[in-house]
Amino acid sequence: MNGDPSDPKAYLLELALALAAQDPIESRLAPYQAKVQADAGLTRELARMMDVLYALSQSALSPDHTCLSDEVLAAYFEGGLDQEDRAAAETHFAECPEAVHRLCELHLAMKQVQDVDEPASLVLRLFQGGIDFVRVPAALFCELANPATALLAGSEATLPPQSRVWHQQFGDTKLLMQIVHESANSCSLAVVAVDRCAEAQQLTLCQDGAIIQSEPLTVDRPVLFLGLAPGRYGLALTSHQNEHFEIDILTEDE
Amino acid sequence: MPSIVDNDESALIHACIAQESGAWASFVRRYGRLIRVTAADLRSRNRAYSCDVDDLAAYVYERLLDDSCRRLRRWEGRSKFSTYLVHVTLNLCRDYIAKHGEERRVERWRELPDWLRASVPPACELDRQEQIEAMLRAIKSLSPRQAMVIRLRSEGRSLREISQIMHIPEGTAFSLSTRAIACLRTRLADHSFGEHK
Repeated sequence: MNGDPSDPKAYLLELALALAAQDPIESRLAPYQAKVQADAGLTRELARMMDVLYALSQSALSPDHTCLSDEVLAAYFEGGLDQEDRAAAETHFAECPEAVHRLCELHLAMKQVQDVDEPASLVLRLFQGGIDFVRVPAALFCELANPATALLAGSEATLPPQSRVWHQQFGDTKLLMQIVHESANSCSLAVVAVDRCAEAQQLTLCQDGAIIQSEPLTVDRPVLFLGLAPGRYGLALTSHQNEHFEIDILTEDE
Repeated sequence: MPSIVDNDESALIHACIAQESGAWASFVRRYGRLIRVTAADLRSRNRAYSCDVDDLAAYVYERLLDDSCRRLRRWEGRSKFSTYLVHVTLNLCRDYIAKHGEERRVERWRELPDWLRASVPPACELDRQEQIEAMLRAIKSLSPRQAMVIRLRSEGRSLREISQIMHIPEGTAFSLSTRAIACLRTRLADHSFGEHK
């Protein structure tokens, strides 16, 4: 490996790391990538460098190795360790490919889980904290019928781009509804009462005449319908006056 | 430091450990989806499609109940229970997938451009171990945080992801990475990674 900064060999490690992460190649590295690509020897050297990095991430540990406990790893991930424990954990991560691998897996898994949980917590925040403190670009609320949403304009927080929030009137009860497309084949729907919630109201989601889920509507927590496949659903609010409407959950290409 | 543990959450876990009536049903209601999403995600990333998500989830529940809920008892409230549970679920699902002969980390070579993939050396070459040891020695000379960044990058994580994982600004991750690479470049200056010995 060469230390001369004008030599493409000096950039092999950076190229290898960028390619391993499938990062876009930075413009400053692009000329070196082109040179490496044009030279069979350099291409072999880059491939070997990546192979070594890959082997490192899988290297076996000694049998007496003691890894971080599950809870410490989870606490590190959350940023909940104090400075001393955090430094100790980072020293461990520097030496333990298995712990790094598990941390990466936790990161990837939590991204999936947070994507699922976010709409519910958003609706909770909307309701519990009052609408005005949730700062969301107004364009995302284009389907909200309430003109008070103008209060939400002009700030930086964002909803997941594949989500929609709107108000739905059920007789005397106004509901705030949010739907999030988690993938092409799965959505979640969160429903919370906004301005009035009579006692003993029941929210029921049906499809083709069969009840998918039925939950009491309460004022303090949203009703969640998770993992819904695309299709036509009926949502009924049962109370002293029964209300019903249809909701279509469409796939992305529809 | 104020506790980050939700009282309800803590009470539920303690009720499960004490095997109180209805506690486990509440646990499944509350965390069932989390376990399934985590299991499904790991299954998909490991391409272990012969393992059914329901089987993975059932295995997780079974192991959580093992030894008087040993895994639940190990949670002391230093992290949120949900994060801890995701981590434990990942470990258990990985074990299950390994037992059923499906464990394979995703082959990153598959994602490489053609011009590079063709040059990937066979893993059995004699000088490979020597080069790995040289790289290990070089990484040991880095600071723990620099070494951690290099390890995360060799796991295929981008600088943005590293900044999220380590709770540092992206600029700091970039700086740690740049300094680590410069240091490794010097340390590895005498090693060729291209030719057979």
